[in-house]
Amino acid sequence: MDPRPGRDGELSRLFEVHYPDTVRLGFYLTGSWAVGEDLAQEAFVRLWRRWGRLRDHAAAVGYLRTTVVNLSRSALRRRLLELRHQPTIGEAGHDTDLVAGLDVQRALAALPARKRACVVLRHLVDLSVEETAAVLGVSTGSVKSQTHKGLRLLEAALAERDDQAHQHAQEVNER
Amino acid sequence: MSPPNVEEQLRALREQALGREPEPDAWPRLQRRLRREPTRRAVLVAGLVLAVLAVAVAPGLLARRAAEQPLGPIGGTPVVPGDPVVTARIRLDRPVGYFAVGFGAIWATGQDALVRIDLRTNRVVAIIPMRLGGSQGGGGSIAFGEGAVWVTSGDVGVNFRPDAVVYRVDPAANRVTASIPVPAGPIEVVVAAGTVWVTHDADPGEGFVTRIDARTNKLLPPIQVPTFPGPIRSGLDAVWVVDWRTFARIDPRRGTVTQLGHPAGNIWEVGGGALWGTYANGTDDSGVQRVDGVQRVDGVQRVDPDTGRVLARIPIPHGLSMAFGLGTLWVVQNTSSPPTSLGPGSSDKPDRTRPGRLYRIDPTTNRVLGRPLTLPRIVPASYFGVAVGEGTVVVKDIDGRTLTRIELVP
Repeated sequence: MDPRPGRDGELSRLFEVHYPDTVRLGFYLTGSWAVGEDLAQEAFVRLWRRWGRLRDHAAAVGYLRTTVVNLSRSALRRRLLELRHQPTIGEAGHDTDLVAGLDVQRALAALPARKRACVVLRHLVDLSVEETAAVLGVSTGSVKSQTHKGLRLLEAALAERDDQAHQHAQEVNER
Repeated sequence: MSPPNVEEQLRALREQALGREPEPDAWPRLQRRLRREPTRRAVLVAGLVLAVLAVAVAPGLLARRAAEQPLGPIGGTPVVPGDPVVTARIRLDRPVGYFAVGFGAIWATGQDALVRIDLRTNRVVAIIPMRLGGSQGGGGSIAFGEGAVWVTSGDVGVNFRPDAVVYRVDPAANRVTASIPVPAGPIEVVVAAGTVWVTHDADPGEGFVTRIDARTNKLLPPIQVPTFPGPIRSGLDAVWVVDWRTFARIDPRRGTVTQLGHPAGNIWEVGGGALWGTYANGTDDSGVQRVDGVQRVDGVQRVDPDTGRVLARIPIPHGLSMAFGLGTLWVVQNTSSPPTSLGPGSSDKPDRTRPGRLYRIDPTTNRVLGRPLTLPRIVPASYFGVAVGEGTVVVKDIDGRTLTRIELVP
C-alpha cells in the first residue's frame, strides 16, 4: 500500500483508536451517521496522503478533526434538505439514522457553520477552548464567543419547536 | 413553559452517539480506497483534460442542435380515472436508493449497480454494475431520455470522489455505453431538449448546472445558477433548479436562466401547470417555516411557477415524497412519524405498526382524489420514495428492499 515503511502501521493504530470518534464528529456535524462514516473515511484517506507532512501523532488527530469539520460543510447542505423533511425519524435500512429526529440535532444543523462547529467540538467532543481554536484555526476568543452565541441560538430554536409542538397538540385536541 | 435545557439535550445526543459503532467493514473499506490511491491522480488529470476538451470543442454547434429538439408535454395529461390498488410487491436482494420507471421497467440503484425490474413480470432482469457513491452505493439519481437511461454516480457526502461521472445505459443491451466525467458530486439529473442536466453536491459544484449533449456525450458549457443547486426537474417547457432560497427557471433550448423565484422553499415536482413542494420559505403567506429556523412539515404546497407564491396548501402531514403522473400528483405520507416532535429520552424510532399512505391530488382542484390508499408497510421519511411512469406507481418500503406497485382500476 505504501512504499514508505511505517505509514500503514501508524494509520492502522490511529484508525483503531480514533476512527469511531471521527465518525461521531461527522455525525454531530451533519446529522447523518452514514455521512459521518463517509467523512471519516475521507479524512483518513487524506491523512494517508499527507502523512509525510505531519509533525506527529497529535497533529494527525488534529488533522482528522479539521478535515471532518471542513468537509462537513458541503455534506451538510444536502443533509439539511433531508432534515427539513424528516419531522422525527431517519430512514431505517438505507440510511439508518435513528438520532436524526432529535430536536437538538435538527437545531444544530440549522446553525451557521462556525457556531455549529464550536458547539459540537466544545460540548459534544469535549475539546478545550484551545483545542477547538486549533482545529478551526481561529482565536480562543472567537471560540468562546461563537460557542456562546451558538448555544443561545440552539436554545431559541428548541424553545420555538416546543411552542410549535404545544400549539399543534392544542390544535389536535380542539379537533 | 420553561426554557429548554440545551446542554442536557446535547448530552442525550452524545450518549446516543456513543452507543453506536461504525460499520464493521470500515477498515477493509478504507484499505480498498487506499489501494486505488496510486491511480487516483492519473484519473483526476485525465478527467480534467476530458472535461476541458469537451467544453472547448462542443460549444455552439451542439447548442444549435439542442434548440431544435422538441420538448415533452407541457401541461401534463388529463386526470386518469380509477382507484389505486396494490398489484405487486417486489422483493429485492439489496436495499435500493433511487428508482424510476421507464423503458418498460423499474430502474433502481443500490450496492454499486443499476437494477432493472421488468414491469410485465415484476422480476429483476438485469443488474448492471457501476461505481456509485451515496449511502450504500445508492448513487445519485436516474433519468430517461434520448433513448437512454442516465444515472449519476452521486456523492459520498463530500466532494472527493475522483470518478464523478454520469453513466449512459443502453436499455436495449442493459449495459453502460458511456461514462461521462463531470465535476464532483453529481446528484440529480434530468433530460430535456436533447441535453442531460446535472446538479452537484460538492463545493466545486456550487452555482452551476452541468450540461451534456445527449447525442455526443460531450459536455456543453455549464449554466450559472444560484448557489447550492439541489433538486432539478423538467416540465412546463423549462428546466427548474432549486435551492432553499430561490429557484431558477432555465430555457433548455437556449441554455439561459429566464427567471429567478424568491422565495422558493422546496420544489420536488413539476406537473399539472404548477410546481409542488412541502414547504415555502420566509414569512409570506405560507406561515409555516423560516429559512434558518425549524419548521413544521404540514402539507403539500402548490407553487405558482411565475411568481413563486404558494397558491394552495393541501393538508397532508409528513407527505414527504411526491411524483407527478397519470394526470395527478402522488404523495406518500409517512404516518409512522408522530405529529409532534420528540424530546430526549423519548423513543425516536419509527412506529412500524403504522404503514404509509398514498394520496392522489387533482391539480385542477387542488383536492385529494378519493380515499388515501394504505400501503403494506411503513415508508421512508425521505423525499425519494415514490415514482410514477408507464401507468404504474411505485413506492419503496422503509428498508429499501421491497417495492410496491400500485395501479388504477376502473
